[in-house]
Amino acid sequence: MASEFEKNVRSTMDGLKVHPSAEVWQKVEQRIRENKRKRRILFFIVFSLIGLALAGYGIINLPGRSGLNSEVASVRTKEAPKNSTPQNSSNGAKISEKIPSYNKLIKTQKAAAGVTRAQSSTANKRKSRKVNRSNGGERLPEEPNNSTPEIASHKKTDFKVDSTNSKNPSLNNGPLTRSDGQNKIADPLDSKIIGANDSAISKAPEKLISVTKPQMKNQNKWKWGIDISLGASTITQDAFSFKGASYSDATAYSAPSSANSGGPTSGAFYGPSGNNAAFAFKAGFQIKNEISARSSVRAGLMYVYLADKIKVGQSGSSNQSSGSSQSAYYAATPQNTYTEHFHFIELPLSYDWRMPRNSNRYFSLTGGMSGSYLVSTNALVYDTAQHGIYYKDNSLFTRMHFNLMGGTAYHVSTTKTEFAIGPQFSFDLTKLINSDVDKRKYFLYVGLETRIFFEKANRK
Amino acid sequence: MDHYKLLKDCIKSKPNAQRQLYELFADTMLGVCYRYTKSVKDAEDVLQEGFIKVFLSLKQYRHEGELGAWIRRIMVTTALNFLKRNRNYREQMYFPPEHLHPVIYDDPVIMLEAKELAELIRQLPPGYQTIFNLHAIEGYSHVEIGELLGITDGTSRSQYARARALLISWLENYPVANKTENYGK
Repeated sequence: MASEFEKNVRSTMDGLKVHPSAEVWQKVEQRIRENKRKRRILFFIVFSLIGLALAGYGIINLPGRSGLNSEVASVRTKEAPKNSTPQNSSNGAKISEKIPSYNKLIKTQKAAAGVTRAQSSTANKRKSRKVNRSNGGERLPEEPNNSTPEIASHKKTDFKVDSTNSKNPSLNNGPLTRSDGQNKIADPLDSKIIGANDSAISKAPEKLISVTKPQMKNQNKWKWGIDISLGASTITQDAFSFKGASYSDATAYSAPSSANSGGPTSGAFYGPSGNNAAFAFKAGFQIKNEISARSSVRAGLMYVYLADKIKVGQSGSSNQSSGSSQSAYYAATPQNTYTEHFHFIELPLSYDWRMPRNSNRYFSLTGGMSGSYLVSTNALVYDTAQHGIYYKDNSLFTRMHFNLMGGTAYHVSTTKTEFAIGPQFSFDLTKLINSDVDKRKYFLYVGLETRIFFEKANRK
Repeated sequence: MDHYKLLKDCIKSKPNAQRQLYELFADTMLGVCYRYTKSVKDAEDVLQEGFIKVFLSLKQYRHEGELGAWIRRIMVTTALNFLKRNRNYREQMYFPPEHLHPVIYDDPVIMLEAKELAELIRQLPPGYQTIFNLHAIEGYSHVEIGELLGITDGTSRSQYARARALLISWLENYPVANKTENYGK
């Protein structure tokens, strides 16, 4: 229990105040800025890794794709043990008739692969043969155990192209029509297998079915490419705005003042200058994956150069290049154009939707977002001090930015490369300058984007 | 600007708000740090470390007590860590287990200015100084002090009694014009 003495000491000491030197705050400020910067870098790295991991996971495990593979896998699993009986080998047509889902699957496969008409003319013939051959080696899951007389009657004699396939010209090019008990093989490729002995097919169903597997894998292929975008950027006052920062209250500063205490403008106040767009560009690498016939996702690593132009007066400091972030300042008199450079590292993640889906020339709509980190800048910040000045203080600029992107592009696709060109825009969602006076807040970029993607060579 | 808004802005890392918070508490907190150290420079080092901790852990402040008290606790903890870490203080921060020192129940009225009293407290040996600060001014119990310094509560009591007696003897001999009228009640 505190006695009077302790109470007296406490009350007396409560009034003790010692004024710290100015260095203390400078050191505190420096340390918390450093710490904030470190946390941002860490956050940026973590965000990037998570984003890339999620993108990769999403691309690989999208429902449509995994369903496709699992369907094929399930057909294989179910059919493989029973295909050892030779009578099933002749029932390819019937079986395919009874597997509408499988035919549907093949159609989906074709569409998803984005096979062009030129490519499909020969490739589809083979596909249809392969599919029919593989069907010939398979059994329906619902099929009774090879014992129905109907199936037995078709044994070794009848091949009929199923009606489903006949509706599909691309799949109707196969020569598998046999009704006279003899093998009429138009294609020498098929004669090696079918003509020799149907039982040969049924003895190796796994091998035959697995012919379809590389087709499926082709859909999963990644493309890598180069992305270059040239355009212009400016800093807007509001998010999602194409309008630069306007200073309606600038006149309040520009009125002549009675102040005659020196300064760069001899007594007149100058408001912040308007800002203009400047040349900007983006360049980097991207990876792309087609997740369906119509859609694909892209992720990458880009270097982004953005810029903005303002008007400033004469430099008020002789030691601009001394390295101090706050040493250089310029009068706000609108005499010279000053280009502010911003260097970012950006991790974009975007979704492309194409139309039409089965063509090697098509349009796409793009939407996405990106995280970017401001690596360095020479930008100036306006302040009303000293009759209006622009000064350097990098601590006032937000390092970590999030952007919304959009655009459209025209694509020309060949067997190994894909070229795309089109307009692109991105809105910054993060405030750039932490200043109450300087109203420039959000970056806007508009440009013409060019992408070239390369397919990985097929090792087949 | 109320503390809530100020804190909110500080958490958003707004430089102006951070500066404002610092200026609001810097003088008082340097007074706290000053009592635990032997030089202004050391006190400023503690203040600097303490404010860095304050800014980095503002999100943990639950608005349950006064902001000043919360910052003060951080400063005290920072000061204790500084004393343990700094060689000049660490060597003198040894607390030998001692028998209880008889407590002098004098309650002299203190007519000194805060600065003068602080100077007297700072002249105590570092161990005494720390325990006196913690118990008499910060209001920590001897059990809490024992936990903070890694000593027994008995040792803390003993050290405090000695520090108190020494300080009172100094106060009684302090050249204040009217001290005889107020001391020794």
